[in-house]
Amino acid sequence: MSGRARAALRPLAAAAMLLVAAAATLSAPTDDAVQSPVETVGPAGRTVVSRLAEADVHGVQAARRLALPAGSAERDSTTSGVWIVVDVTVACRLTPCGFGESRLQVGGRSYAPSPIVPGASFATMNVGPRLRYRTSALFEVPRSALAAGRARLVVQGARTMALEGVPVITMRLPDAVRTSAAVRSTVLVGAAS
Amino acid sequence: MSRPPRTARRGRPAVVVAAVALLIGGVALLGGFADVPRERLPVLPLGGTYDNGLYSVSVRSVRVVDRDPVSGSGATRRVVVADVDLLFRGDAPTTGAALWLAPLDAGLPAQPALDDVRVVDERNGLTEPVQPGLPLRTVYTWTLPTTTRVEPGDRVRLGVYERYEVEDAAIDGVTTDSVLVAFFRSGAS
Repeated sequence: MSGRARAALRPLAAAAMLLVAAAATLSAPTDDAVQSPVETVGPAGRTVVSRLAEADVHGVQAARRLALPAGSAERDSTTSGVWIVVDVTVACRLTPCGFGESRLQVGGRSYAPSPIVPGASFATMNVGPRLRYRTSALFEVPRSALAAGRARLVVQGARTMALEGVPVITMRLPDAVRTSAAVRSTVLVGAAS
Repeated sequence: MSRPPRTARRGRPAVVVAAVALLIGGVALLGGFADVPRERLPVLPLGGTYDNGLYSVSVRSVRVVDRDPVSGSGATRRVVVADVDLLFRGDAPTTGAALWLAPLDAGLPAQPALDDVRVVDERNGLTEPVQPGLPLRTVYTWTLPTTTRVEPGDRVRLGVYERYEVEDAAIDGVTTDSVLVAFFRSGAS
């Protein structure tokens, strides 16, 4: 190759290297992605298992008020938004854990579970390993959030670390908003896998 | 080169003094040597709304009492109680609402200890995080230090705070601090 041809190729090689560098930068995982737990994603109706926890969503309702379990203290659940009531069975697999850091992700926003049910509830329970509990996970969200149509329930205890796995259940949000939705008491339903 | 006449040399100091005086006068007229002129903070009446795009706060009432209305405990410490409507527009729930407001005239620091501040849901007394996009009626309470001079019935102003970056440390990352950006006047405007 002549010296002139080699000189002409240099800018092209530099541009190609810049393109490769830009592609590497753009495709690199963000800090959030690197530091977030690893998701094991599955649909409602199937048990989704991660190393520390498992979850199975049986159904989802949207309601303007909550009918708290019989015997619960009276708590006002009127809302300017809507309650998403997720009927779910959860279990810790290796160590005792809670689910207070779980989030319902809808339309680019995430919502924390409400501790409105007195006593043990999805937001406040701390349970031993290998025991499955059926409960209602309650999320108060703006009414406009229903327009997203779909949601993801990220089941996460307070101790979940980066690179740890978390079950994520994808679900369809209901079209209709009920006047009231019944909230389950948290009950032990059996042993986990 | 010939020397200037004696009268011209005598007049030089006067010209210099006059020039300096003019310079000082001009600078003083333009606002002096202060770094930045002090901004006037917005003063909001009760019922008004402060909205910075991320969150809005609307204070409906502020009062000083001698008993915590939420826990019922008290009589040893004064408590400032405010009824506040909140709307948070972030994309995840926040527990930072306790840092958005603080009484100005009650002997509390701009950043009270978190044990001394509570933000509870007016409907049910819960202290859950503020969910994004969901208007919330809350009751704020600040437990005042025993050295406070305010008495039940006194008026206090509520400062609105935002957090700004104050230091960018290589290891610890960004440090932020609360900055007073507005205040709610107590009582009618």
